[in-house]
Amino acid sequence: MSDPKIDSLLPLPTAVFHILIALADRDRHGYSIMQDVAARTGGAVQLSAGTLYSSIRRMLEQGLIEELTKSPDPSSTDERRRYYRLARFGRRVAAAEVARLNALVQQARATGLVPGA
Amino acid sequence: MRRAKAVYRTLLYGYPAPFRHEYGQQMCLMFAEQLSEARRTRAWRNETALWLHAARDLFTVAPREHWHVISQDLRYALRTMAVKPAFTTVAILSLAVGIGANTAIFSVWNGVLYAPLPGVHRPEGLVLVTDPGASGMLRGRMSGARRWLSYAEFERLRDHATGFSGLMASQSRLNTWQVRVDGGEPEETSGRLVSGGFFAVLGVHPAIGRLFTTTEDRGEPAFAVVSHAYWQRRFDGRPDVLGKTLIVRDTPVSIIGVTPAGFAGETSGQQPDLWLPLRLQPRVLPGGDWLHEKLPDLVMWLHAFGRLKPGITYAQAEAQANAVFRAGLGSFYGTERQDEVLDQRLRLQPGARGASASRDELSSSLTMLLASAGLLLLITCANLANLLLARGAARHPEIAVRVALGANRQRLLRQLVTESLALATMGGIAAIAIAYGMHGALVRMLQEAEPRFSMGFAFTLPVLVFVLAATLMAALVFGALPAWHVTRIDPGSRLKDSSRGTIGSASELRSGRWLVGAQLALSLPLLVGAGLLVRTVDNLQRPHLGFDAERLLLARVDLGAIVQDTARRDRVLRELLGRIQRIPGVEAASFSQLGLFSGGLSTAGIEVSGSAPTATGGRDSALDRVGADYFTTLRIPILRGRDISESDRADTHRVCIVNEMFVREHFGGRDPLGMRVTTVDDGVRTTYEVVGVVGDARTQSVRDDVEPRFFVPAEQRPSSGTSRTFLIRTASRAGSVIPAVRDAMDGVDARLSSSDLDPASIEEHMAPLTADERTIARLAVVFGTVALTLAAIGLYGVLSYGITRRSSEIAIRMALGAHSRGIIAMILRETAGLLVAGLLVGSALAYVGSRMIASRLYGVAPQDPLTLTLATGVLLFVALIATYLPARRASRVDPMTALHQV
Repeated sequence: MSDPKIDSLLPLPTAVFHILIALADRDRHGYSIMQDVAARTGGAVQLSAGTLYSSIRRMLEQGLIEELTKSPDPSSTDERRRYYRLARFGRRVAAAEVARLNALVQQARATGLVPGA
Repeated sequence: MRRAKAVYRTLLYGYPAPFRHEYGQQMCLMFAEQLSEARRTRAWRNETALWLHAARDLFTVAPREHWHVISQDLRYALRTMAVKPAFTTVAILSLAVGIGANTAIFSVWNGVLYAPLPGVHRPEGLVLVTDPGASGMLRGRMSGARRWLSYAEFERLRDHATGFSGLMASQSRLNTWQVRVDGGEPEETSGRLVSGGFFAVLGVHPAIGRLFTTTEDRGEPAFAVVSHAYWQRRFDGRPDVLGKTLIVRDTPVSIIGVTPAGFAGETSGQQPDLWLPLRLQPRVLPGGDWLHEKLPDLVMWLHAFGRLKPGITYAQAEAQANAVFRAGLGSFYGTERQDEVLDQRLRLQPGARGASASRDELSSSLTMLLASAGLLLLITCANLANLLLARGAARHPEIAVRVALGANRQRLLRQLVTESLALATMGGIAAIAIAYGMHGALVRMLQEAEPRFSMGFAFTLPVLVFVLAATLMAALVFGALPAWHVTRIDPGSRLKDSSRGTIGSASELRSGRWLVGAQLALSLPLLVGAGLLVRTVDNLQRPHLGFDAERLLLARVDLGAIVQDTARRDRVLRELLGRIQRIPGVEAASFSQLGLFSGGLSTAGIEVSGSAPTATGGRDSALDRVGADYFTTLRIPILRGRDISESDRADTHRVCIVNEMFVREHFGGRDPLGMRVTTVDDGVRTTYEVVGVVGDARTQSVRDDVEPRFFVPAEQRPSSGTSRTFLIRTASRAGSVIPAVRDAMDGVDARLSSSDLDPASIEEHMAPLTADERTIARLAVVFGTVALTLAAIGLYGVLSYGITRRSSEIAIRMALGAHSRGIIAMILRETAGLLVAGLLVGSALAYVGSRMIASRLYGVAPQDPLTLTLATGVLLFVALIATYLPARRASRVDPMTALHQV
């Protein structure tokens, strides 16, 4: 079942997809997102502050993520940090992107472009 | 660390403000953490990478964010515009007309005054040897800087002036020929004679066929090159145009090539249909052979353009050219008379803009038009600002809510500016279409004054820049004030206001009144200018001519070659005059060499009996050669003595008649009858006895003062000019005798036919002299009316708006016993200050403006009190009506209804 609202967002820009993945397991602030992406990719993807917040601005407008009004970490003393959470719509978009990539990978395997699993 | 953070914060100013406000702090935090991480691990490479990323973001992410904000504002602006289609349409249309009119005038102004020749290769490399403003020809002798060259002078320069890499000549006047194409009917076609090097010097390559080369400077090459426009118009752009035959004054020429599109030749403001080789002159132009000259007269009729050799300066080229030129003068006039002619010289000047007969003529008119159109645009913008203020007031609740909800004021301002820009841009785009249409109309109007003027609309870089600048300026002028007001809104008070049904603030109302005051002030100079110009045209159309211009037909006759045979010429003229005088319906007739308002000029060096020659040697006076009964026919009063008569023949006692100016200038207070006037030409002295004094008459220029002039019997003073103009006073309409005059030409001489006759009424001769003024006056009236209307609408709008705001106050006053007349008086009183201020500033502007157009006026002073009073009166009258209508409405407010609404 394809949703035109979701389809219009695909394919996702790399930064956006990485941010969605970073927010999948827990709510994070900007620096934490950046660190998570760097850690997961072994330092291959380094989000700069400009790219990160430009993406966040767009993702908020598109309804992929939400900003939390309160810090999820009660022990945090830094009131200035802003935290973001993956929205339900964001989760669906990420799933659609994964499906799209999956289909692509399967096609590549079927034609023998890459060895099958 | 602190310094690094400060630098990064500065970098953030590259992002749009809304983004910076939202995320700037987070970005700084993140950057600080990344930086301290990098420093902690002492990885200087990471630190460098961090800075590089920050810099890269500035050039990739920041512009994207800017575009995001702009597109958002734009979408919002378009939505707002779509909600109020009537307002949007009025705004865009008024801007389009305002900017369009300015653009059309600018494109002609720029084209005439500053634009380089279109379609010419490297126009800035062209130099002009002659006077670019001169058009026509002169037979005789010139002193000072040469306006034109003779054919022989051009050939000498072309062959011997070494400073030029190329030199070409072109006929300064544009001809109108009756050309027959392939043996068809004669068609009016414009064209000009040019030398073989014409196209090569201009750097033009043919669209098809070939262009003239230096071989066309030899023999009588019967070829023609046609313009791209003529090719398209007359031959539908078919390639078989090559080889077709055109018949120009009985001479067949075949078309050898077509110039490229956009090329119009060396004269700005003219678009010839065809070019013929100079060598064809004796066959295609009347008036004898101008290629071979003989003493005593040179025939000067050519412009010469060249390009300098590399490394040669203007001064060097000018010196070399003058050396060749003077040697030529010496060999023409003979060395013993060199002293008399050596005051002649050539002056080189830049030729990029080409020659132009109309540049001087049109420049002041166009500059004046451009200034008034600019003023009109300002008034339009003021009006639009007023509309926006009113609309801004209506939007206050919306904006107050947004401000209360935390919208950033800077953001609001940005949005409003975007709205103004979007409006202005749409107006600007529509203006281009309007400019295109207006350009054509303007050129047609200018053609009434300059019949050969022609200029297509070219969307060149200067025009584009002008449209952009005008659009931006308009947006700034009409958008700034309303935007400023909207952003000063205090959300609390506004929300309360709107719930009470009051709209607009006192300060907005004040701004609105200021704008209306400005509109009134700007309208006055336009009205005064229009008034002065209308009076000028009126004066020019009823000038004190000094002769009777009623029912007068002028018939120019080209005598061609028979002019050389004086006996035959005199017999023909006598015979023709007799026949014309005998035509039924002709009351009187005579002829003269110059005719009336022909632009002709004839002067002679003179000595007057009884007064010593002046220190400079001699004096000059204008003269004309006239036929019998000249003054009686024109009804110029004969103050003393007699008219020229039949019996003043070549072999009788030489006589002359002088005008009053001549008496004043050359005889002082003495009685001139019986005195002698001696003309001195090239050492030949001829003496005439004064037999009459006549009143001063304007026979050549409507504007200028009458010159001292003397008149000699045509037969007593030979002239090499080939045309004479018959002056025919008719009993009824002047045109009614034209067929009979044509019949009179038949059989008078074997070499003459009625096709050598060019009849036209005196009105037709005089119309072009005042066409320029009439065009300007007409446009000024249109501009003045539009300005006045806009000012009236603005005044009406502001007052209506103010009265609506104050309806409760008015209702209370009336409930307390105020009369409706009292309410009207109160509103009129309140407007009086505005009117007085507007009129005072307007008068000052009108004073400055009228001084600027002083040179255009005739018979009316720039500070003419009557015109100023009338213009002020009209403005005041319209303003009072615009005030009275809303005031009356206010006075009819029913107090109960109004108070219930509160």
